[in-house]
Amino acid sequence: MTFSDKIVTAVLLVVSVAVLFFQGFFLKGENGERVIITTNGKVYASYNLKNEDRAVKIDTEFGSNTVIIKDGCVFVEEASCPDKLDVKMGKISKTNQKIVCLPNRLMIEIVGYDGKVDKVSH
Amino acid sequence: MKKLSAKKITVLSLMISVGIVLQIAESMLSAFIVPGGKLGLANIATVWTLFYLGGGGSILVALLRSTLGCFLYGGVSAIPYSVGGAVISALFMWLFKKLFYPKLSEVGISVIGAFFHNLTQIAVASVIFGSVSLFAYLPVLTILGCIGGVISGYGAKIFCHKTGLIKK
Repeated sequence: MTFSDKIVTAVLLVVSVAVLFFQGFFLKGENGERVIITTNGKVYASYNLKNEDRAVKIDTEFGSNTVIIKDGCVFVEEASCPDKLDVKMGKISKTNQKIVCLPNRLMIEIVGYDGKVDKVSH
Repeated sequence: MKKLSAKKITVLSLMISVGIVLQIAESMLSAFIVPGGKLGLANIATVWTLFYLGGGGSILVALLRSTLGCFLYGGVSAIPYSVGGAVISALFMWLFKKLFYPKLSEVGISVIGAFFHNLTQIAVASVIFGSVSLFAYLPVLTILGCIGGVISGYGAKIFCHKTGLIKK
């Protein structure tokens, strides 16, 4: 590695770690209130996160996913995508957390009562 | 476009197949550390071509490697991310090589390629999902990209020198 190589790598690493810390401190997720499911950039459905256990089967032209809302957590139980990354992402329960399935164009977000995360992202 | 010699065509096809094999092998092994994170080992083929045949060749390798790799393994839905990321990162590696080589070696250029690969993929995803919040993943992917970029940069460097094919 040349000196410039090290500089480039170090700058990228330091900036990334700094942003991660910033995210950890200032965008710390609180317990979420609502689940918003988006497919292909449009809101598909929205549910209460708490006191309402359910299984949602999502079928679109891009594929199918089964989303489970249980005990204040959301996770994807089954998916038709090849990599199953959404299933591997596991459970989420706090605001600013999300599950994304790129092949099926599915995004599951958690927002607080006032939906403040929502304003930023949409 | 300059006329392609038989040797160039052979080298290009060889690198495309090396890239596809690396891409598929990595897809099978990955999904560790971060969901969706990858080391980007297929970039070895692109970096190597950039140094041996120049920018045009490396973009061709990136384009065909990612397209064919998706058809063979990743799935057609991965094409916008994979092809977009591979081609844009090849373009930027070419640019940085023009501007900064040999100050920046294969390793640094490969790290830059990894960064632009991640950046493009998130940009493509943001357009498809209509949500800029996906950029929150960029730091994690960049850290992984730095590690992967150094590994594939050294991979390409060792490959270049061992085969004695590096062209200044």
